[in-house]
Amino acid sequence: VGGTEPKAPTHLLVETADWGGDGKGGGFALAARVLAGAGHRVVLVLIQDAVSASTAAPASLRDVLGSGVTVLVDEFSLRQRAVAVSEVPAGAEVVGADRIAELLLADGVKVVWH
Amino acid sequence: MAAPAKTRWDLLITLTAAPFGSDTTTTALRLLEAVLRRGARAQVWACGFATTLTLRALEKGKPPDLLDLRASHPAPAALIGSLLSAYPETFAWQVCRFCADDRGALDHVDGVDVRSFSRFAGLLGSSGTTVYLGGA
Repeated sequence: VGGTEPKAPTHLLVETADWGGDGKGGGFALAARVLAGAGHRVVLVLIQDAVSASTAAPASLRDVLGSGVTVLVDEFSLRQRAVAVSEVPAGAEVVGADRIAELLLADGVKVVWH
Repeated sequence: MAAPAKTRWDLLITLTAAPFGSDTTTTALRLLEAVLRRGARAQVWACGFATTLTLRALEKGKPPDLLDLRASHPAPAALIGSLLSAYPETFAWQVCRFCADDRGALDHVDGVDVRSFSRFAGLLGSSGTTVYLGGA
């Protein structure tokens, strides 16, 4: 896992809702890809129920991973749901609260939390 | 043209999620702890049922963990109180008076301020980044 990560993202999208099935969390997939396609730096954080996307790996998440968006998955949320880090798809990075805090505090960051 | 004044707070979290309704309170507390450890200045505006998180009556009254009777887990009120003690200059937890009145939630742990909603615009203006967590 890994990827090229901007130090100061223009857009930090934090998804908490379930992404797969009937979940409402996939809405950020389009927003993230459009913003990245327009040349913005975008980081998508999957936290709480949204970590389901990292195991189900729906097509919308695979599209995001291939669009230049940095995808981060919250390690604590994975652990709470007994999901192994090895289930996270290649291209996404598992991070802790310290990394998310660093992004929240970056100069000029625009945070959208869903 | 003069440079803009530096904002007093790095982060404002507006927390309206009902406690125990989801992981949101846990997420907020985890991130706050991480932000404060980095030396940043953070404040919370607790609205709706989140106003009950810091009730003094809940500080020490947490039921035992039936899966581990010897374990001791701090209640949210105790955890927030300990953060306020550890970071007195860089952390503030403020409770919306209107929402607290509505719920009879007016006696809070030391360090928590109950303030009028009319102050909220000022909090927004004094914070570098604002994050809204929850749904009332």
